[in-house]
Amino acid sequence: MPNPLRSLFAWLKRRRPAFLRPSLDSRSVQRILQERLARSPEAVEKGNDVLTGVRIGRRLDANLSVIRQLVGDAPDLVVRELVIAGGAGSPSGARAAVVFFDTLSHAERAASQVIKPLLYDAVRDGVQVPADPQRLADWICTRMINTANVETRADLQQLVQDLCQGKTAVLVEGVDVAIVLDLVGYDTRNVEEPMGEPVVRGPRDGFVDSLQTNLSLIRRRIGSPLLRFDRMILGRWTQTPVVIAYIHGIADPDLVQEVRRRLSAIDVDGVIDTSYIEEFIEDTPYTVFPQVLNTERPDTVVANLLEGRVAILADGTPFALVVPTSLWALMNAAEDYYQRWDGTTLVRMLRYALVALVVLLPSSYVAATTFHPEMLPSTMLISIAAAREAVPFSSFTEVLLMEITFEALREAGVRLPRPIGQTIGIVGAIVIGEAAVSAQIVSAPVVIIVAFTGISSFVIPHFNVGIGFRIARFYILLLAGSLGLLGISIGLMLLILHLISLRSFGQPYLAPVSPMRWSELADIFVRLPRWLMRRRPEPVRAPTRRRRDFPAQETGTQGEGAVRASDQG
Amino acid sequence: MHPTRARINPWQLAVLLIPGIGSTAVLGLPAITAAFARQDAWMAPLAALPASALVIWVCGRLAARFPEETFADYAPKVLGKLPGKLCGLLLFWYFFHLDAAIAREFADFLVATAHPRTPAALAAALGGLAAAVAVRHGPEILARLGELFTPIAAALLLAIVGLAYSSMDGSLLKPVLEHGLRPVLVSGFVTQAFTGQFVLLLVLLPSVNGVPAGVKASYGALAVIAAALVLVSVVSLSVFGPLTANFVWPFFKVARVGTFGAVLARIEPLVVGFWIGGTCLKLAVHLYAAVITFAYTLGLRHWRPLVFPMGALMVAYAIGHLNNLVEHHRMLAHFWPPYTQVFQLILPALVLLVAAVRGMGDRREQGPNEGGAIQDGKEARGHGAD
Repeated sequence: MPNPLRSLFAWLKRRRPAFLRPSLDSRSVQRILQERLARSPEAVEKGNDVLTGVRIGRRLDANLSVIRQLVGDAPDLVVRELVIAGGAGSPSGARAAVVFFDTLSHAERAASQVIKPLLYDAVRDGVQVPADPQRLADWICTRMINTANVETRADLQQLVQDLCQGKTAVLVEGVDVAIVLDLVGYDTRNVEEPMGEPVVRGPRDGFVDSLQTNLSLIRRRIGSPLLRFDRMILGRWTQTPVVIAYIHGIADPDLVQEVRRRLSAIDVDGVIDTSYIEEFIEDTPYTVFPQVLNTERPDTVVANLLEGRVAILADGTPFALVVPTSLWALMNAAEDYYQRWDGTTLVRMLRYALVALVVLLPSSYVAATTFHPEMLPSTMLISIAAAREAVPFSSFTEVLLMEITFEALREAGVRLPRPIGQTIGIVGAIVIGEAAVSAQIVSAPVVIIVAFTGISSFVIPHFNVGIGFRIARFYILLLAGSLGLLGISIGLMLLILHLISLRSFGQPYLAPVSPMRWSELADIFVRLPRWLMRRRPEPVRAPTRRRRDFPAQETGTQGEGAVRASDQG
Repeated sequence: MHPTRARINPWQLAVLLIPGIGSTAVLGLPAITAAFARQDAWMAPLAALPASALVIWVCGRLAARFPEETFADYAPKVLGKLPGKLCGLLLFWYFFHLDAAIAREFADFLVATAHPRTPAALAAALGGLAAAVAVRHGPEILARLGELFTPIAAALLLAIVGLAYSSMDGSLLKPVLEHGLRPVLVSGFVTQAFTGQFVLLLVLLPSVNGVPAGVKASYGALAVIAAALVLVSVVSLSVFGPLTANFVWPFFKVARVGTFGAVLARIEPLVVGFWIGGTCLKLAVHLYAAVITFAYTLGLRHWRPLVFPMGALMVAYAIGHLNNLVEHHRMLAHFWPPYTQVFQLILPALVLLVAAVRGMGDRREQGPNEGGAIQDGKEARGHGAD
């Protein structure tokens, strides 16, 4: 069928009045649903399309059996059938059922706040249970149920969706809507200090894996009612709730619109972590530098919101994304803003100097010893020459060998369980460092340089930008080993050119430095005292729309499981 | 993208022009001027100031008359199709030749100072590659590169001067004006070959936000370059005296002798590194100018595909058109100054004069559509083949 025609039909289907929609009351609808579910998995591939537009019926048994079938008779689905004690109107009482997943909801709260009122409070003297089904539903919502958040649902698909996200449903015989209550409760980590971004001074709470808690951590810090949370659902199968947070009035509306657009263009099977989102919304996919800031600190997110940026949070991960960002923001630690400005300024300078060393020190050593010995002071040259005398390799090979060893040690240290991790440290330091020098496989200066470079790479506050610089180090090293000083210069120039041409949601990556915006330099290399930073950073212009979006994840790859990343075609 | 659609601000223009013109002059120029004016060589940049300011003024007037067009677009309208196209090609040739000279200088310097066993062709090719990559990113990125590079390079230059302070001897600058003004004016004429490179504005000004502010920024850039050249000449002369004329890159030697006690010495690798960066930037700016002029003279719609081939040709010409360093420097000192005047001053001034006489580029006539220019280009190409 041609595309416009199909969308027209879809539109008509969505728009038809309620009485035209199939209801669970009709046996044929039930049968079709059963058949569809019983068929091979490919037929269900399209997810919840099976259910589109189906209404909840009046007959309780039919509703319950369809729900049971839909979740495959899940052992954790609780269906508590009960009778709302009859008053004068209906002596036999109305049959009802409370449905929820006890893995996602509080069973005790369901018992005390829903089941108990319906069973016992309804039989007290003077309580009139309405006989009319429509009024019965209203009566239950307003009089009986003891929770804050009550909604009604007429759509089967929505109801099942809500159940799967931990809501509790009350279905009543003769009523064609379900009453949905929020009794969500499951175990999460406690709010604790984030491991990846510790501070000496400053707020100590970090995001946890639950979206609700994370939003509360943000909301608690921003008293203004203009804080906005835009909710959307991402992931075809995981149906992960994702929230775009910004402050209305500070954030550029175009930016918010573009974030929304890029997020809604994502079509993947699942969103397990915000890094899944990050890869889809980056401006330039082919680069080693991250263009989105990720943090698990609510205070960092709030500070960024106050500067007009937009945060993206997803359920199930403590990492929030912040866009747009710049290289300088990625080089700042949260603590920079909590310590005194003078100390922070010096620490920042140290950090930038060390990053320069990370990229340039090994390559400078290789270039100087291989191509330009005349550039070293003579005493230093002699001592280096003496140390290198017995070493069989060129200094490029030496440095490369040691750099790879260091990276291997680092990776092993991260992956190993903590008690064994220390062993790796000892093996690395003593066996490899000391033994390699005394066996004259590498010279002592190389060990010093590589160790120092390694330590320097850990001062970069954001791990992922550190990875970018570490990769850049190898690229410059390769050029230095083949072309000496010329290679370093040209390589560095191309690297800087690349950094300049990067954009994060349209904002230049090196923004307040290049292009220069004087008023914002107060928070880049130095941090001026807070009373001098009076201007909020302004976006240079509306973010550019990315030219194309990534293709959707392909369906029909059964057996391979989920296709993890879709190629850019 | 037509260059007029790129947007750089006046500050960016200034910091792009400073290394885009000054970077080769800083190292080598004092030797050439000292050969003519001896201890008075430091006055050469001052003597060149009026003529260079005239170049900026002419370019500024042209840009004000034709605010949305490059030279290649309006020259055919002013002079008539064939002469206009010829002028465009001449300007292209100037940028191309100058770019080749820069690449040659780049390669010679590297081979002479840091990479004695590297073939000059490889060095020039690498510089050309980096420049071409930069140019393909467009003028905005070039300008931002200048923004990052210029302040640090300026700091380095001042640091070298500071380090050389202990070796300076002011008496080497005396006697002032021993042979009168004539040698100073001759060396100023030589300097004008460098500072006159502001003719770049014919290509860059249409991309700037606001032509008057851009012109003002260019005067600022000229002042900075002239000050830097005076400083460099004074330092070179007061360190080496009459020897200055015998070196090829006297300021590099200054960096070599400069020390701060035992704490800081041998910063010449830094100088080489920065000079490579600055010269690549200069290569890139002129390559951009050459490509733009060529593309719009011939009425091409896209200039980007031309960048790499043009860069390769430029490098080949740089290596092939001269045999060695000595030839290159003789050319720079004797042939180059009068030769470049044709393109830097006479050509734009001629177009401006004709435009003024014909009263073209009035407010009402501004901003003719691009399509017309491209149409013209196609026809002119047909004429050229006759």
